[in-house]
Amino acid sequence: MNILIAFAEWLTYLFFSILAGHVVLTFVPEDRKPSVQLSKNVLMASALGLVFSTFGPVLQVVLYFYESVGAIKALYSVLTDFQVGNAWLVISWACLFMMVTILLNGPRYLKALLLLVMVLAVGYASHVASLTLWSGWLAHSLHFLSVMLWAGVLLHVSWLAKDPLNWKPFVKWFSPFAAACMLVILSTGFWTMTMVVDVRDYVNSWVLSYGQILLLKHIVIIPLLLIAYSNAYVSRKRSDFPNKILKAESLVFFLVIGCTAFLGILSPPHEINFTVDSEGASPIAEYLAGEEISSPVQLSISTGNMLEGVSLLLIALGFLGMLFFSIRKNPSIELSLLFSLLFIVSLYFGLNRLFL
Amino acid sequence: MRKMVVVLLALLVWGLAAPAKAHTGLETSLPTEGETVTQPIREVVLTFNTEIEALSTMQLFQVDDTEMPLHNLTINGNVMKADIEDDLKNGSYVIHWKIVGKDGHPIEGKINFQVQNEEELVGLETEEAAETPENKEEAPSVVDEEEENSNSFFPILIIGLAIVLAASFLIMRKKK
Repeated sequence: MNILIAFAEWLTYLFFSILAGHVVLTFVPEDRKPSVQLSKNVLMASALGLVFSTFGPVLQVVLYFYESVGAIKALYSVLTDFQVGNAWLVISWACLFMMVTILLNGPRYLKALLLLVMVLAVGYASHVASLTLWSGWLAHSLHFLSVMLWAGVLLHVSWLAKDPLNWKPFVKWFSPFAAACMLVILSTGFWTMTMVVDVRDYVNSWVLSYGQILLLKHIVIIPLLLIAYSNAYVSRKRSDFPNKILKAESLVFFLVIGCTAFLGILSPPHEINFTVDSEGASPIAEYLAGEEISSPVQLSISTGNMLEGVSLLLIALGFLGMLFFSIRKNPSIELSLLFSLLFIVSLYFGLNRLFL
Repeated sequence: MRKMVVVLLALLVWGLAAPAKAHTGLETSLPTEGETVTQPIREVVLTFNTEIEALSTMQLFQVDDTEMPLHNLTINGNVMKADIEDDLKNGSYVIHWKIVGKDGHPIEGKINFQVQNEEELVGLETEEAAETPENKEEAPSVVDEEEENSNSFFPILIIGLAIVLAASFLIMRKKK
């Protein structure tokens, strides 16, 4: 069941970016973007899909409590009292209006407004907004909005672009746009993380499933940034359309949102020792450490595993280099994805070996 | 553009400066974890460091899993309270609590405590005192083991990845 809820969360990000990309591109003049063919039906289906996929977190709470109070009462209580429930109601209404607006070819400003309302609802329902309402809400909404704006355009252009591509004029605005989004994404991402994990506890949090997945997410972002950078770099030098690498970039993006979706169903590591006691350590972390993990947790570089850990880090560096060269010499989706995955595996296990 | 960068950097610094203070979890409780209660106990009070939602619950169990009924469960802000109906006999008890924060993130926990009437108390305390140092001694030995533990997973992984890296490097060089 939890896996289904995580999958619904992943779909939420996908549907959102389809809508966001559509909205952003309606604000760009025809001669400064590739022509993108996406049927109204797909947009309508994404909006409708959001109504269902954003119900996942609501269902999670209902399932948790229906045994003690009954399903109807639990559902009613979640929809009226909980931030997740309120947010779902707002998103559902906004999605219905969005569908009508798309169907009737309504004004793009209305679509943008509805999208903003939905983003704010997502931010309101976030974990950080429940900890510190205003700063958490702001940080999460900004983070989510910039991810969706950037990834939305990326998805549309990488999978759906047709002639005329208008590649040069497109890159001219998209590169700085993407860089600005990235800057906001990374800074607000770090900001929201500090609300959940104390920076000094970052390594210690790896004993919990949440910490493991957060580490994985951060590792997956590295090849994404490298691919994005080389895309921008290559596009400045050459005028042809790097559609293979753009597709690879969006596939790595799917991995990142996969990690994020997974985080949603795990307990955040506010108090690591407490969580280890009440829920137990991550089974993966225990397997990698080769022993049971119990509180108090204090991880540091273990000298005995230094050799293996450092060799994995070096191998990771090698794969990152291979990724960079393969993009420049022989761009292909499979190779970029392969080297990204190998880099992720090496760095992930290397860091775990060093510290666990 | 430059202005935007400055604003963003300011936001980042602000984020850095505000340390994570918020923890969703149990702050204090009555009885506390590991406590030995010597007075008759009529009430359980759990204080959390976040406002908790109305659906939060708790249950009291004897060590053999028989549930002891709790009454008048009330939730007020970040405090959850309930009355204990029956007198608790000597023995071990555990409170299971299940709460949700405002975001709907569920958290569970347990509080173990003992009920001990005064006449038997002295014997138990010395027993406990004898147990504690042992526990403390165990902790460092776990750390030692950590350093020597050998896991064949890693050598295999390293060799495999190194071969793949070398092979792909050679293939890529040829293609140039």
